[in-house]
Amino acid sequence: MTNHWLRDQISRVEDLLRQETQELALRLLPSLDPEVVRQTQQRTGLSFLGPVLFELLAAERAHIESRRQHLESLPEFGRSVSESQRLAQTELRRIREHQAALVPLIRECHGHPRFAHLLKLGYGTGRYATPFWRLSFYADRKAATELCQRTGKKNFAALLRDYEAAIDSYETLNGRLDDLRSGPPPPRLEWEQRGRQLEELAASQLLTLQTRLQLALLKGGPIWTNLEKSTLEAELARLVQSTGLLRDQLEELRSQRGGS
Amino acid sequence: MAGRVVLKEAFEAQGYRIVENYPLALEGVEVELDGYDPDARVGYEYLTEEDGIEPGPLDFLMRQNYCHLFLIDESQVKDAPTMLAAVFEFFRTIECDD
Repeated sequence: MTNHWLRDQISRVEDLLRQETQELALRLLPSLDPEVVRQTQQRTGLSFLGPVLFELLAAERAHIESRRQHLESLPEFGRSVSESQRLAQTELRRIREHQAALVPLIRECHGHPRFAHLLKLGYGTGRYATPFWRLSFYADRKAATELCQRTGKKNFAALLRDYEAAIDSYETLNGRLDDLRSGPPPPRLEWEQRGRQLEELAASQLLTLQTRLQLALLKGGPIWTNLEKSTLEAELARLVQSTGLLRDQLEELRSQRGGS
Repeated sequence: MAGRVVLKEAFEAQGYRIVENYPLALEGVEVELDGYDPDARVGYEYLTEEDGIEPGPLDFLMRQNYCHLFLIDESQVKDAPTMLAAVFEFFRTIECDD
């Protein structure tokens, strides 16, 4: 037997077993009716289907309901989703306009080839220490004069003050933009989403439990002994038997692979 | 939380011995994984903002074949069967590569 052949066989039986276990899980647990869950727990012995299950399911529902109540208490909740979105758009526009007003000064400064150098040396502040006997002193002064002329500032200290304020404001506005873009959705929108989540909760909880039941069947162990000992309807008993045979077949194939 | 339970059970049903919150230190990458089988070098990680794990280093480990990690990088998973179908596909891929 080639490894390739064995691998194909394993894949084929795995697929069949996954289908069968899914079918068996749906048959064993068709609903979250307490009587159905109790019977399935008895038949399978699975601890997650025990009485505590209903407390957990109720807690999940309560968590969503409590979040909805919190959202209802927010002042913005009174606004419709479209109103919240319109306000957010207005705020975005306002921030962009403020930023646009800061851009000319920043652009003039950054566009001058010596501005970064002046900033580094602390030109216009007490930190500037280049002595007058150096050519660079005069080159700095010329550059500072040019910058003041271009930006209409009285002197370089004033330019520096306005430049730093513009940079600070620009960054603050950027932060506000990020908050607006990545912030939580409007309360009303989240409230509606949570409402849909509540409506779908029972179905989603059932699907999760059926999936866990399927996985327990795939994993093997005491669940199979429990099922074989249980009194099952004829059709269900046949399904358990055929699924069990597939499981044995898969184990055999896997052990062959392990030994090859 | 239900998602993590289903993931662990899915990996265990496939025969992996999952250690939860496993501190992986491999090829300079140090990260606490939601679940990992150190012998098989197979595991999973829910990428959330809270745990602050970036996918880049984990992608690197996968590309170099140092380990096999299933990364959940979607904030909304439709339901448990949808996730399980993806996990089964993942198993098929990594086990065919072996």
